[in-house]
Amino acid sequence: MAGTAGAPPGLGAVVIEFEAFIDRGGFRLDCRFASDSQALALFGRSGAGKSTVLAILAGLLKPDRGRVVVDGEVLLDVERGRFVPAHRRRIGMVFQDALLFPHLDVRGNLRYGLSAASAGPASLFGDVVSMLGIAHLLERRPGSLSGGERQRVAIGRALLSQPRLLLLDEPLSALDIERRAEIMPYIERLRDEARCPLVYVSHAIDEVARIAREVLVLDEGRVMASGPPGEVLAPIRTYRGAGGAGGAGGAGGAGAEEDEGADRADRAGLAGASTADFAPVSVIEAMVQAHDTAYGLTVLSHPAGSMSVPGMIGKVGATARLLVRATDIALALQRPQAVSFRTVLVGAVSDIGRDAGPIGRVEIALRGQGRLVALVTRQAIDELRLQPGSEVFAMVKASAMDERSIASRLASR
Amino acid sequence: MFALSVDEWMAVRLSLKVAAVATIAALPLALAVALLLARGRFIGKSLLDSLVHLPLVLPPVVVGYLLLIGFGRRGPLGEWLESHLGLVFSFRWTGAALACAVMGFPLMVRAIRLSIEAIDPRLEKAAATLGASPLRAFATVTLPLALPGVLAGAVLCFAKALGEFGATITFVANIPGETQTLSAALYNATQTPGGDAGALRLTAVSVLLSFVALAGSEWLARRVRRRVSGLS
Repeated sequence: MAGTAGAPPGLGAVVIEFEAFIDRGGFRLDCRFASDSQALALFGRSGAGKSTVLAILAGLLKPDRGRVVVDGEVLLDVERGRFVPAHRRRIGMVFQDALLFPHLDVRGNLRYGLSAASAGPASLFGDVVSMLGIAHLLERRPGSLSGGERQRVAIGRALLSQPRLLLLDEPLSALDIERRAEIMPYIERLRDEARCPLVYVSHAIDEVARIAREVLVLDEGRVMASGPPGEVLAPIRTYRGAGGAGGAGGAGGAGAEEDEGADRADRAGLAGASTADFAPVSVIEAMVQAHDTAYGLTVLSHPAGSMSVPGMIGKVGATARLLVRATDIALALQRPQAVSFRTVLVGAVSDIGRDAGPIGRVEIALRGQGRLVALVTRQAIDELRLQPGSEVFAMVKASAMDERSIASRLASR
Repeated sequence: MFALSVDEWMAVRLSLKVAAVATIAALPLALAVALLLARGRFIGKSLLDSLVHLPLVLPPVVVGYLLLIGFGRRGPLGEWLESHLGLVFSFRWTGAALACAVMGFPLMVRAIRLSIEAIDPRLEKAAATLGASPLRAFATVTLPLALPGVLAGAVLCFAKALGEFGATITFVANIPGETQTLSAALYNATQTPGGDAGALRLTAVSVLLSFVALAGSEWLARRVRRRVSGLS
């Protein structure tokens, strides 16, 4: 996938090979994957096993069986009795609630990992502090910091220990929406500037879409899907939330038998995640074309059409990543005239998912590149006679693409 | 009237020495046991917990008698310690210190354990992900955060040792200049005709020392709370 300003080419990718099995007290993890991504996200709802995977990677938890290889070094091999303890792994971790040392000031926290690591470049401390914008906090105690500040210090502390891999365990979930928006650019910057790949755990689809280059969807301790965010996040099948199936029961595979036959057939036909709680989203990459200061809009160009998004985003020429919710898209067979939608993208229907419920799912291969998933009524699918191959115009409400869903904002500053 | 006699001074000084030695000697073991009870998961943990608390509930005389049996010159431990390390406890001030250490031990362990339990164990995990070995994590994270609790425990043990009477007098008797601590001297004074003035003076000293110890412990406890919350 053509990335945004990614890692400099030639920077050695860190390869993770992961395989772990745990079965204790009602919790089961049976997970294997390999990745060399600069930004891997583990996505899934709480209890899916994401944090467990991180703990195993970090060496804070021993699985019943498994093998973990990072950067060619075998960190864990239960069968061969190999276990490298956490402090010898050089894998940094940022916890959900920062876990700063309360008896040390910010400087002391930041330096904690520094002294343990082999001496790095002299400028490292200054670089990290300025990248995270925490220079003014150095003398403060953790107790007097805001949640967002604390999390930035925690990221800095982990970075300064010069890990070969940085794990972030729901780093934003303890923060309110404003604080999240405050931190997100720093994490993107981290991904693009720090010479250290990230593994990011989250159950928030917008975070994953913004940060990840590769996504692993976990459910009930298993990997349900993996790939670039544009491909993995869109086909998250279930549209129960939007559709009529209603009840919360039947999450994941366990409840499949209670589902209606049509739904099951649909699932069988569309191999992939059976995750129940997420409305589908699509991730589209487009180039910043112009800024309309009079109306406060940014115009982005994409082979399938131009897009207008509120706010001044990115530099002209930069690539932005947009998150579009399937519920925010309307479809037309002809190029619509005189409508309020500012974003109209042309493409061909590649797949249609429907069941007895009122809402169906239309997957569109956009002209050029990218995929879009729309949720529309089954009635509309029939009336427009949509079928694979149909040319459609997808209209996206500009107001639906809010700041949270737009990546690469920081690159503009 | 207010001046202490030579014997009384000797008892006060001996008490302070005995309490200080008891506290310092008990501290490392108390720290280890507290850490074990706070963080460890092992079979027999509740047994160890009960054992540690035993001196708190047993009559002090019983503790003293058990020490006499175990650490007396002919006791199994006492004999071994004398022949191998040259340590003699029975009827010596060292025995008084041992009795005080045993009696103060549960209080010390309790205070340290509570302060360790108040520390988020994930802080040690965070330290590990930053490259700190378990020993370094303990020395640089757990211990500093628990330090005020450790000091409070030490103060409590010291105060308890100052006032110890039953176990000490049973184990090492009441020998002026060797094992006659403040409490024992006070007891003597009350048993002696015309000893009221001396008893009162020793009482005043005792109240003063206890008050200082308690105030110190309270001050330290407040520091624990502030320190662990990361505000100061």
